This record gives sequence, structure tokens and C-alpha cells, in this order.
Amino acid sequence: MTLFWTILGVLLLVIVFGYIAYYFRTQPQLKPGFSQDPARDQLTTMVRDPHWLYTYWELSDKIKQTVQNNNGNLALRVYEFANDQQDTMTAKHFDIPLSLDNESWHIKNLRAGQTYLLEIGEILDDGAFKAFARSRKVNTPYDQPGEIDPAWMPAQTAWETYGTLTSASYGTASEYMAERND
Amino acid sequence: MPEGYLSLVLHAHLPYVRHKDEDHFLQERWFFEALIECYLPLVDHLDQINDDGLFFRLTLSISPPLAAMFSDDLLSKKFMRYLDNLHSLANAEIQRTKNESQINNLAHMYRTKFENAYKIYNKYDRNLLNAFKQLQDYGCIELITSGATHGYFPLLSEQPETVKAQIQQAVRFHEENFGSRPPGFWLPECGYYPGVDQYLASEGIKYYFVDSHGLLFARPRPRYGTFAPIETPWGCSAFARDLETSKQVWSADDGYPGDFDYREYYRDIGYDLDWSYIKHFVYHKQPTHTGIKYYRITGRSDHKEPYNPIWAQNKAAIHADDFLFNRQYQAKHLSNDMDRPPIIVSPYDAELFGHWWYEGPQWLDYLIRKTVCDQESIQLITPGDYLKLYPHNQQAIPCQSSWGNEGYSAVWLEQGNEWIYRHLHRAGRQMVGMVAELPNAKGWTKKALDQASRELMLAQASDWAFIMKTGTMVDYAQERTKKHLDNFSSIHNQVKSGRINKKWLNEIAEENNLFPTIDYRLYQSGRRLPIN
Repeated sequence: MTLFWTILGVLLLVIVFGYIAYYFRTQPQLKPGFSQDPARDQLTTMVRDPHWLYTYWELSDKIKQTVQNNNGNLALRVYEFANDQQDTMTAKHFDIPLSLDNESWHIKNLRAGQTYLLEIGEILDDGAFKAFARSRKVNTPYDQPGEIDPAWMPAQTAWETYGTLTSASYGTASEYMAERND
Repeated sequence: MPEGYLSLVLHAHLPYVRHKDEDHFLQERWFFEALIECYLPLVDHLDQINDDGLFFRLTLSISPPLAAMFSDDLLSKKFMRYLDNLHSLANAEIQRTKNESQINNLAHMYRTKFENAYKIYNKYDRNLLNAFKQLQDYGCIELITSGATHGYFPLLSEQPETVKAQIQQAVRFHEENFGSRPPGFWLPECGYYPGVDQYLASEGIKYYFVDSHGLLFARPRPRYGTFAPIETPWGCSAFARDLETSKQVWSADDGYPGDFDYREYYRDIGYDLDWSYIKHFVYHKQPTHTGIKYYRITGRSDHKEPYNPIWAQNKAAIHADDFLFNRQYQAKHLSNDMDRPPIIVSPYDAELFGHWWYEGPQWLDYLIRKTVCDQESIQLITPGDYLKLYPHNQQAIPCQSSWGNEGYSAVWLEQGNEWIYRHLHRAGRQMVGMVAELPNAKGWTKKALDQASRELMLAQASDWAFIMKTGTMVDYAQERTKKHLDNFSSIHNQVKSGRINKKWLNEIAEENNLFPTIDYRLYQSGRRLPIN
């Protein structure tokens, strides 16, 4: 009789552990640290038009606390790259002062057809800039025709209509669409 | 050889507005109105031209959400109820207006229109994809696709994988629906950024469209401006919207749709008549458009005269003549300076034809017939056909651009909608992260990840940001964005913890059921799924 209960118990244990093993096989766990997005320091820059960028950021509480403790000056640093420049050491830049309450910024009056990169960081007492996050490089679009390829000299008649291209020519499609939402 | 080619391109799109319940009938009405006023008349006209033995070529972009709604059983049933109501309303109007002969004739016109809608809809088994596929098989139209949920690519480019997924899923869905891969792609809102071509090219896409300045500001300067495509380094060709033909049709001041003989959109009996009478024929709880409108534009004042269908039809013929004459002149002028016939690309929102411009489908009918029968200097062509004739084109890179107001991204990135991108980008990062962690998920985990893909794509639709900007129906756009992002976030947390709420997952999968065969691995970096 004891043997019977022992075998039954072993069988039950096998079934229970088997189920647990199957459950974890079909419901795989993600690696620790996966998707810590809300806490990571990051800066994203988007292109609105040839002269306008929009940027938003997320800073961890730890960084915010550090800035607050230092009575620091939070700032955006906007780098503009000339054609042959690759790094921030040589690119010209300007700073936009921020408060810790800011979460995004519109940067206007930029130049068309240029490469920009942004950093968010703290301007230290000695004037040094300590970056917390950096965006990817973005390019503002062009607002006029480009250089001529000598092998493809522009056909005069094909470019006559260029004179009629004004900002009023854009977006007529969306004006109609705007009325759809009655 | 013709002196020039005309490429008419219609972009057909609506956001995915299918709801299981009755609470969102207002949004589903967008789809029903588009069916009655635009797509059913369009199919009818194209069928008739084809039946008359005329060979024509037209490019039609059908966005995946619209394609899905065309073939959805639930929406089809709801549409039949909508049509039944309108038919009853037309009958009631015939009775009500029996002593006003001019208006009564119009009530009869609407009843005939609704009866015709039944016929066409039933002819294609209540699924217009059948109609468009048949027209494709006859060689009349070149069908292309657009972003999976019409995401605006320049502002999604922060996570290239999400742009790639929008393209791959769209191509896959197009092939499921129409049996072949699309040769071209309609970039949602003509939103182009340099480099998006690589994802298009890897899906076998041969061409796409940009707005005029997308080519005029290309680097280096394209020799033929907007009148020939350019070939990008990634292997796709870019065609540009012609300025002149855009203006002739789109311009609020000078465009054809504003002619005084055409039907006035804003004088609808849904607003003009007593609500206690109208409410029996609509599902709304307040006055709304019914599609029955008795007046013509008449003039710039509020005074409106009754609509005269004969006058309007004649005007559509005159405008088709005018459009064609101008293309002949344009092509003749351009051909002096080009080593090939120019291609004039005229893309329009399909909904313009019939919905905003009631006589638009008739105008299109006349234009096609006149182009095919009455002259030889202009020939209708699709971009795909043009590339077969002229496969070698100047290499250049288009300029980042869109066809939205101001020509770039200002419509989809402004104070009213900028908040969404932080959340869309985060969800995109999380989606890519989940795929990297779980590349071979099975069972409920796979089902959850597939649904996460749907929710992310639905949240990315350019329509929500657009509606938020326009300031009307904002609540709905915000609700949809938040709902899909909330669903995504819940799935993300469930997958992360390994505890999937199966009942809830089934419910949202039933509600947000776009793309039944989606595979979350679309979001894998560098991966392209095999075609079924």
C-alpha cells in the first residue's frame, strides 16, 4: 500500500514539474533589464521644416537630482556641422538654457540643408558642458534647388513652372482633408 | 509616339474605423460616405469605360486600412443598413417634395443613385477589392499600396525598423489581397525622407511619389524638373506631382470643383430639414450630413439655387476638355526641350472625386474617354509603364518633403499633436526590443506580440496627428492614439512578466483585427519575411 502511495506521489510530482517546465517553455521570460525606457536618459530630435527642429527628452530622476543639487544650469547644446565636419569638437554650436520642468523644445531659425546634432546637459561652474544624452544627427531639408550636374544641364522649359512654386502651392490636398472631419 | 504622357494617380485612404459596437457610427460613416459617393461611382465609371472597349491606364493606391475595410464582413453589414436608411430617406423625400418639381427630380436622382449603389456593391460580392482586382486584371489600373496604417514616415524615422515594418506589412497585405506585389508605393502624405527608399527597394518597389519640391529641390538638380522621374541611389524611382494640374483641380479659388454649377457640399438636408423628420433615417443623435443635397454652389454668397444635373454634367465635360487641352499645350511646350515625351503626374486624393467634388467621377470619365478617343498627343500611362519605356534616368536624391501645408512636416508636428511622438517612439523601441529578445515566440506569446504589432501600427496612423491639428473630432483621434498605445503598453508588460491575460488579449484582437496574418518579426532589424 505504501508503495502505491509513493508511486502515486512521484507521478503527481512529475506531472506538476512537467507542467511548470512546459509553462515556462511557452512563456519565455525576458532578460533582466529589458525595456527600462522610462528611466533612461535620452534625447530625440525631429525635423519639422528647413528651419525648424523639435526635440524632446527624458531624464532619469537621478540626473534631475544631480542638476538640482548642483544648482546647475540645464541646457540644450545645438551643433551645426559644416560639410566636412564630423564631430562636435569642431562644429559650431549654441546653447539654449532650460529648466528642469521643460520636456521639449522647438528650435527655430535654423539653416536649410544643414546637419544638426543636439545634446542635453549641464553647464558647470567652470563653463564646461557635461552632456547627459545626445540625439542622432538630423538634416534639415532644402528650400531651394541644388547645384547643377554638368552632365544633366536643366531643360529650360521644364523649369519654367518653378517660378510658380510658392508656399501657397503646398498642401492644397490637406486643406480638403481638413474639412472631412465634420 | 505621343507628345506627352499623363499619369493620373488616385490615392484611396481612410483610417481604420471599424468598431464592433455602435458607438462609433460617426467615424464609420466616413467609410460609408466614401463608398456611396466616391468608390462605387468610380468603379461604375471605370467598368463602363472598360465595357465600351476603351483601353486606358490609371494608377490607384489603396491604403491597407481601406483595403481591409472594403473586405470586412461587419462593415459590409453595417453599410447595407446605412444604404437601406438612405434609400428610405430618398423615398420619403420623393413624397415630401411631390409639389416641388425641381427638387422632386433631384430626390428621384438620389434614389436612383442609391439603387445603383446596391447593384454595384452586390455585383462585387459586397467587397470592392474584387472590383479593383478585376480592373487590374483587365489592364485598366495599376494597383499600388501605401503605408500599412498610413504612418507618416519622416517623423517615424527615429526608429527605422518601424518604417520598414509599415512598408513590409503593406506589401505583404497587398499581395494577399491582389495576388501580386505592388510595383509602386504611395508614401503616406507624400512624406519622404532620404533613405526610406532602401526599405521600398528591398520589397521590390520600383517607384514612389513626392510632392513637386521633393524633386525640384533634389540633389543634384534634376534636368527635367518634375517631368521625368529620377533614380535614387537605393534603386527606386521618384515621380513628382505636377504643379499645374494640382492647381487646376485643387485650388480653392480657381479649381474646377468650385464652379458655380457644381453641387454645393454644405447644403445637406441633414441640416436643412427638421431633425424630428431626419432622425428616423440616420444613426446619429444630432444633425449630420446625409449625402442628399439639393443646391448648386451658385455663387460666393449664402444664396443657393437648386442643383441642375444637366448643367453640372455639361460643366464636367467642359472642364475635362479644358484639362486635356492644357495638357496638350503643356506637353508640346515641354517636348521642345526634352529628349523624350514628358510625364505629367497628377495625383489626387480619391475622395475628392465624388465626395468633395460630386461631379469628380463624371469629370474623370470624360477625361479618360476624351484622352483615349479624341486625340493622340497625350497618352495615359502609369509610372510602371513609363519606367519600362524609359528605364534609365538621372540619379539624384529627392528632398525631404510632404504634400501637407508648407510642404514639410508642420502639419503632423505642431503644438496639438507633438505629444504623441514621445509615446510612439518609445513603443517603437519597445517593440524592436521585444523582437530582439523573443525572435521565436510561440503560442500565446506570439499572439501577444502579433497584437502588439497591430496596436503600434494603428497608433502610428498619420490621420490622428492630422485630426488633432485640424481641431475637429480631436477627442476621437486622441482616444484612438491613447487606446492603441495603452493596449501596446499592457501587452508589453504582460510579455515582460510572462503572464498574458488571454481573455483580454482575445478581446482586443477581435476589436483591432487589422492584418490577421501579421507576424511581429517584421520588426526584426534587417529581416524580411518570406512571401506566402
